[in-house]
Amino acid sequence: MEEYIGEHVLMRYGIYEVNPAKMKKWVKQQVMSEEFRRYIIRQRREYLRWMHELFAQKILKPPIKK
Amino acid sequence: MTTAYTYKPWLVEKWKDDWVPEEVAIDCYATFACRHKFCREVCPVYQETGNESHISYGFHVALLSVSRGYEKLHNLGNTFTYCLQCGACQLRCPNTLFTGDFYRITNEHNVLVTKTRNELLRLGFKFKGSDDMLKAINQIVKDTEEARLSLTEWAKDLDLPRYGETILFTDYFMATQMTNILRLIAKILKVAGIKFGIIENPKPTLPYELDYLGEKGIQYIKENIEALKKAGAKTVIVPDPHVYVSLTKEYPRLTGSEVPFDVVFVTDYIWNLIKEGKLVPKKPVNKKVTYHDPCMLNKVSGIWESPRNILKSIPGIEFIDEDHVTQWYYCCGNGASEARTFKILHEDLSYRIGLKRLNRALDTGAKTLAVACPHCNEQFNEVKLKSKTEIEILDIFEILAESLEIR
Repeated sequence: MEEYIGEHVLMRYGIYEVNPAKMKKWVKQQVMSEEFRRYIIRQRREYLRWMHELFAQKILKPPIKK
Repeated sequence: MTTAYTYKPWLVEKWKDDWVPEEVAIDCYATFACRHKFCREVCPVYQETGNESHISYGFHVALLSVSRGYEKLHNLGNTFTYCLQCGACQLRCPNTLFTGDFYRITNEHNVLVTKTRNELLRLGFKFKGSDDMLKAINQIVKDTEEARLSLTEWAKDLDLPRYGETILFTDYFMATQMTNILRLIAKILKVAGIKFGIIENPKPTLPYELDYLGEKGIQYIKENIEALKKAGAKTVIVPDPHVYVSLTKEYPRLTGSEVPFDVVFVTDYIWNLIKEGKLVPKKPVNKKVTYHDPCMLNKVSGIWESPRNILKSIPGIEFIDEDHVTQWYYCCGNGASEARTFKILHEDLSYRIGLKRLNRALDTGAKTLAVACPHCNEQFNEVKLKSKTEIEILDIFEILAESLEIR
């Protein structure tokens, strides 16, 4: 499930993540089920979708160089 | 398995009037340092009171001040009563939920509020309404212990066995106060040809409140799990969102292990039956309906699709949907408590939050507000009666049963 894609970056379930081991020294990390993680990620995406629907009336195209 | 939980060992530690564990203080400092206060905009209580000490940010700062010696815990007791435990703040906040980056920690606001209230009571400090709150919880315990509540009376003519691989499970609340809904759900399952049973003496599940009962709370968990195992349960259908949160989140948090069966919320289960063609709603129900997302389903459990799908599958209904993310901002005013804790602590505030929600439903042009939670149902009916608001409050299964011609 975990795949390192750089020295300090890994990918889990399609999400980029800075290697959490680097923070262990400073913050006590907790037991967290993958389902809970996926639940949070899903809700965050839902929130972004909602914001976009509410506030983005149109999507601007990038400028085209002539 | 639907279980999703987090567990922080340091929340088990005993606090003092002038001391909280440093790990809690670090969590609190992280929130204090944020200052975006996204938790403020989404909080149903803040929308009414406009007081920043009533939001998640305020609670964390209060505990931080205790840990840094600026304040004593007992002086801050009343602050912690201003929480519905609806879960909106921790859902909305992109910072306290550090998951997805290298912190791998998350603040569970609802658990923190329960923990703080419980520690205040353990240390002998009273806060506004604490006596009444404990009285309400103890009354439920007393009624259960003395078997004063007849918890299977609702099913006496339905011929349901006390065993089965599929069990319809609810605690005292629905079994005594929302029996009409429970009977309709049982009849709908029967029409779909599902073989299911119930258990004889379910104990109260009380999400976020079992902590107040100490050992007795843990005993209730064990008894419920044992009874379900003994009945042969492999799938447990839960018709009450509060019970669902208990089984999927609170039981694992308090016991440290997941429950040994699948827990499915009833709308998910029945929507699957409709999808499979085992239930076909045929009779048109001509109503203009909007749907209220119960906090325990939408915010805490992430279930919002199946109730909408059920409503959309009923012919004749004009369904006016309000996005489930918009509804993070709403609550019926009852909060997470099965024992009506918030209503006891802040009756007027609870009423105002409920009335606001009813008015928002009327703003959509709907004449009927569909609910999927017996506690929301009860609260809305109280608010409707008190405010004389002209809106029809119906449970989703009352509407579905009408379409299936079940009475």
